[in-house]
Formats: sequence, structure tokens, C-alpha cells
Amino acid sequence: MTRFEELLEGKLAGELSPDENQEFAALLVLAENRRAFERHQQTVALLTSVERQVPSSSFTEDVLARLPDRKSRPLEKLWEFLWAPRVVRWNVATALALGLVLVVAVLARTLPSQSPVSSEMRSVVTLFRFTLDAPGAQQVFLAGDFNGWRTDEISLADATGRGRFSVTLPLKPGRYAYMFVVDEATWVTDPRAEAYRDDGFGNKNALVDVEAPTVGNGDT
Amino acid sequence: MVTRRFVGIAVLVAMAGGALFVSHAIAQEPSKPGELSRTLEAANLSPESKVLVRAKGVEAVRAGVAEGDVAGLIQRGVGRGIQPAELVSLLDVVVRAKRQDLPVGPVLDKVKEGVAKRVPPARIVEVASRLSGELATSRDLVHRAEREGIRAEAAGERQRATEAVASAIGRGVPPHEMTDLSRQVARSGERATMSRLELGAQVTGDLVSMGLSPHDASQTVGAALSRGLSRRDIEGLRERLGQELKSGGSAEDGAKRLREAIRSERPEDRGERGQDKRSDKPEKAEKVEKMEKPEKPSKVERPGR
Amino acid sequence: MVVEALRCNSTVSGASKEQGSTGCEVPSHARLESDPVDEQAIIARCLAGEGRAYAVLVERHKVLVHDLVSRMLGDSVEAEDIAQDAFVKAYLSLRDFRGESRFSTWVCRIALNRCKDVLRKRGRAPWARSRREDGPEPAEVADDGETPVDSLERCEREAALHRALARLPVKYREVIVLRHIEGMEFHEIGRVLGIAVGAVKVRAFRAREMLRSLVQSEEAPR
Repeated sequence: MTRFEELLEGKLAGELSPDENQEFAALLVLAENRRAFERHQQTVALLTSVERQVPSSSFTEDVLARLPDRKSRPLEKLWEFLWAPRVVRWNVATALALGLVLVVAVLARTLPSQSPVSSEMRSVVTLFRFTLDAPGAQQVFLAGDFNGWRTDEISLADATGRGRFSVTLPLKPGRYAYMFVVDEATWVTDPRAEAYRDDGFGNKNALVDVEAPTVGNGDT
Repeated sequence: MVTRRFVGIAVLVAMAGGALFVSHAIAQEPSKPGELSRTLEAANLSPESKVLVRAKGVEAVRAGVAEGDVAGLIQRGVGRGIQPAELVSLLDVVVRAKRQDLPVGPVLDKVKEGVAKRVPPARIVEVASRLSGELATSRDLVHRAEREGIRAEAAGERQRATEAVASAIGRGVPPHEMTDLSRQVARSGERATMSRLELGAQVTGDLVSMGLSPHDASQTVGAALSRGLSRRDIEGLRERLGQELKSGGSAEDGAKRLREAIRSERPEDRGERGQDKRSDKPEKAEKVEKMEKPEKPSKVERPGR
Repeated sequence: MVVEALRCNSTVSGASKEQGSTGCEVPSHARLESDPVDEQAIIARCLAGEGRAYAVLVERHKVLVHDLVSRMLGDSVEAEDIAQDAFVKAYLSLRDFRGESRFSTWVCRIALNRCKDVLRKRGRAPWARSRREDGPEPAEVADDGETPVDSLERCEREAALHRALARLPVKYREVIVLRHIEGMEFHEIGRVLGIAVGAVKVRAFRAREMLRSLVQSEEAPR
């Protein structure tokens, strides 16, 4: 695959970075490349205009009717009890939207300058939402090096009452380690984090990277 | 008149300088005087214990640790039921780091983390001390990197790079691998910056956490850095390695393919070209009866037959 | 204070978006259709004997699987049977599903394998035994002002596309269908097919090149 073809594929998928977009635009100067791009765009347009073939309305019932009975014998039940994939579910907890405002207000006061940044970048934050599914939990807190690991400060709210706790924090550029604290006692690693790191104490911290905005020429 | 004007300008400059100094000081150490005393007064400790802890607290503040941080640590430690002598040893780790002129933030954070997670204080001391050692090694490495031409372009970049390199060392990347990595950065001309070194250290540590050997991780990231790949592409190495691992290959093979792709600036279609020579042609209308041989089912998460 | 766009630590499920959450800039590689934690919970219930819980997964992915099979085989009647087979087989192998990929990825892989079995048994092109020479009926679309002439042209275009798709080698057909008809991301296609993302991109590129010339030859007057 040539570089042009690679960029074309990325362009069609909407995955090109600004630099790559520029590079691709430069390559489109060649008429041959422009024609190739148009051809591929037309083919994609043709394919995406096709309507999907939907199954009959009884499809799901037909599938269920074909499923065998899963009546388990006691031993099988025990086996399944031991090996079945499990999800931690907790009871529904109540939370108020005001709690979120309070948390943000507290954080605005206490968020440390994690990394000294230029005065320009100091004023730029990214809102980051942390979410944990914990139905059955009474309360969930977030603790990390963005708040000195305080376990009673950043409370997550279960707005829907279905055990999905979340909180939105303004974070300055940097890399942060964090964990959730459920019902004041259980430390839970975020299963959906971008990256992880052992904390040295036997737990796994989740990591989140908040990028500094590009200044000047852009990417460093 | 000239003299008056000169004096006026000098006073204005002095005031401006003083204001800057004060605001800088405030930004750096937002602590209230007497916070340590107030914290100890309120603490549930015996008088003898208070004396012991106060002494270490004062030592920490004199060494340059923010009074607010010292007071906060004492408050939390007492709240968690940590014994005074253990509290003193926790403060001592921070003091020693400060005295070695290391970035004290990560050490303090690690101690706070350990206290929050109710880790035995002796273990916290052990982990925080090890972190201090990694920071010391990292600081020397970053100084050497600077002499080799890596430059800091904004305030705090050197410190962030030091912390990131220390973190990578803590995740198992030997210092000599980090030295090689910093040389790759130094060789990248315009892009030989501390923020690139920080990025390289972070992603190297991440790849090691994903199962790659430190050598493979640093070689892979080093290849990307020396080719001048963008920040986004370097961060994307994690996802690409993840995809390689999910395809069922070994981490080493995945890293090798990544490096080849980076060096040739081609995606992984070399294998594709090699394998698919026979079935590239479309079926002609008159040969539409002839079916192409189906491929083998995927090996990953293969459903039972 | 300047606030950048909102980011999340997790893929946001369709459910939470509908519930009026403030919205979230989901990473481009995230799928919005299903929540892996939710899927795991449903699978756990199925393994515990609650067969009816499986209906949720079937409902969620039936259009995807059915359309995929239909495109691969070129026959929507048989496609329904084969698509059902895929779901049944997935149910019977639920204990083997480790949750490392999404359920949709897994059931698509099963469906594609099943299609290849069928194609192998047929021993001939998908259209050879089809009752309809022009492939499946183009799906009915809501009346949006399409004239009869437009409708006829659309049908003819789709028919030409179906015939062209049938002539694509299977490995190109599956990538084209997954990418441009089912809208899957490259990395997910790679998981379905068990190949690297780079290989997916190469196949997609070549498949489109080939498909274009095939469509042109199908549309040419005979």
C-alpha cells in the first residue's frame, strides 16, 4: 500500500490527524490521485446508500424457540456458579445534582497544580467524566492524585437510579492515577481506563491522560 | 524633575517585582501559617506524641515541604489511626526526598495514597523510598539528556519528564533502556524536547504494563520517536499493540511488527502482500461458478463447533 | 477558565445517552450500540438458565447479523435461517465467550464462518441457486418523494451492486460489507476476521477498487 493509499483509507474513515490531512491535500494536487479519491468516495457512497436487509418480525422468537433448555443439575449449577462471568451489581443509590455542583466547587478550591504549566495552559481544563457501574452501592467516591487521594471528597452521583455512578471533573493537563471507593471500604479499579499501573501496594491504579492544548506549531 | 521621575519609576518597578514575587509565592505554597500547630492541637495524640510529630513536622517545613501538605498528612495519618512513630517515618521519607532536591510531589502523593488505602506504614515507607530512588535516577538521566540536546520548552517540562521517566523505571524499565530512549529523542532534531521524552517514557511504561518486555517497549517507542511520529501516533502505539495481542500473537511478535511498520512507514500489509497473491483477481462472469476456497476460521475466541 | 470538550473514561451506552446525560465525546474507536458490562450481565443470566434473557442480545444484533449473512450469501430467505443458526450456535458456546471482544464481534465471526460453510457446500457462486438472479429484493424505503423513475434506477443500481458483490472474492466481500454497509470500525473488523488492522485497510482498499470495476461491468448494457 502506498502512502497515498494509506492516507486515502484514513481520510475515508475520518481518522487523519491535521498533519496527515495536510499531507493528503498536498497529494491531491496530482490529477491521478484526485480521480482515485473520487472513485473511492463514489464507491463508498454507493455502498452506504444501500438499505440493510431486516429480518422477519418473528426472528427473535424463532431463535429462542430453537434454544435448548438449560435446566441445570445441582452439580452443573455449582459449576456454573463457580465459573459464570460475574458483574458487581449494587443497589440503587440516590444522588442530587447539587452534589455535583458542590464537588466541582470544592475541586475548584482544592485541585492542586499537579504539574506547573505555563500561565496560558493553566487556564485550560478538560472536563472528564468518570463512570462506574455499581448497582447496590450506597455511595461511590473517586480518589486520585488530582485530589491528594482524599476518599471523602469527590462523590459520584447515580442520576438514573440504576447504579451507574458518575462525576465530571475539570482536569488540567497531565497524567492522573485514580481508583473508585465504594461504600467507604472497597477500592475498585476502573475497568474501562485507558491504561493501568500497579500502585506498589498490590492494587492497580487506573490512569488518565489529559493533554495540553497545542501551542504554536502544534504537536511536540 | 528627572530625579523624581527616576525615583517614581524605580518605586513602580520595585512594587511590580514585589507583587510578582508574592503572587508566585502564593501560587507555589498555598499554606496558612500556623496550620501545623492548629492541626497538632486538634489531633487526638498524647502530649509526648505531639512533641515527637511536631519536631518532624517542623523539620519538614524547614526543609521546604509546604506546611499545608505536612499538616494534611499528619491529620490524615492520625485519622487513620497511624501510630506517631510511624507517622514520623512517613514524614521522614518526604523530608529525605526534599533534601535530595527531588520532586517531592510524587513522593508525597504516594504517601497520601498509601494512607488513604490503609496500607501498613512500613510498606508505605518502603514504596515511597523506592520511588525516591527512582526519581533520583531519573533526575540524573534527565540532566544527561539535557546535556545531549533535549530542551525544555515550557516551565515544568523538565520536572514532568523526570516524573515520567521515574514512573517508567518503577514499572520495570531499566535506566539504561531509558537512557537509550532519551538518545533517540535527542537525535530527532527539532523534536528533541522534554515533552517528547515525557511522552516516550509514559508510553514505554504503558507498553510494559501491557506485557511487553522493557527492551521491546523502549525499542518500539524509540523507533516511533526517532521517526518523528506525532504525539497521537505514539500514544496510539498502545492501542495498536492491544490489537496485535487480541489477534492472538505474542507481545514480542506484535512489537516487532509495529517496529517494522514504523520504520517502513507502511501499515502491516507486508504479510498481507505475501499471503494473498493467489486470490486477488475478481471472478470473471464466465467463471462465476468457481468458488474461492474459504479461509480458515479465526483462532481468537473461537466458538466451539 | 477555558473548558475543552468532554471526555469519558468509558464507552457511553446508548441507554445513558437517551437518559439525558449531558453528552460525551466518545473516543472514535468506541461502539455505541452495546455496553460490555451489560452484555456480561445478560450472558451470566443466560448461563444461569434464563434463556429468555438472550432475547436482548438477539434483538440488539439481529439486523447486523441478518444483513451481513444476506450480503455474503445473496439470498435473504436462506439468510434468515443462517443468521438464526449463528445466534443459536453463539448461545450454545456462551461459556466459551470470554468477553474480550464484544458479543457482536463474536456472533459476526460465527455468522461469517457459517456463511463460508454454506458457500463451500454450494460449491458455486452465491447466485447460482438463488431464485432471484438479481439478488435480494432492495429493501423498501419510506416514501420520501422518490419518483417511480428514481425508484427503478435505485433498484437497478442496487441489483448491479449485489451482482458485483457476489463476484468479489469472499475475503474482500466480507471486509466491504462489514466496513461500508455494517459500518464497523477497522479494529473491530480485524477482531471479527482475526487479522491485523493494517491488513483490513489494505483489503478494504483493494475491495473497493475491484468492486467499482465489477459494478461498472454489471451496469454495462448486455
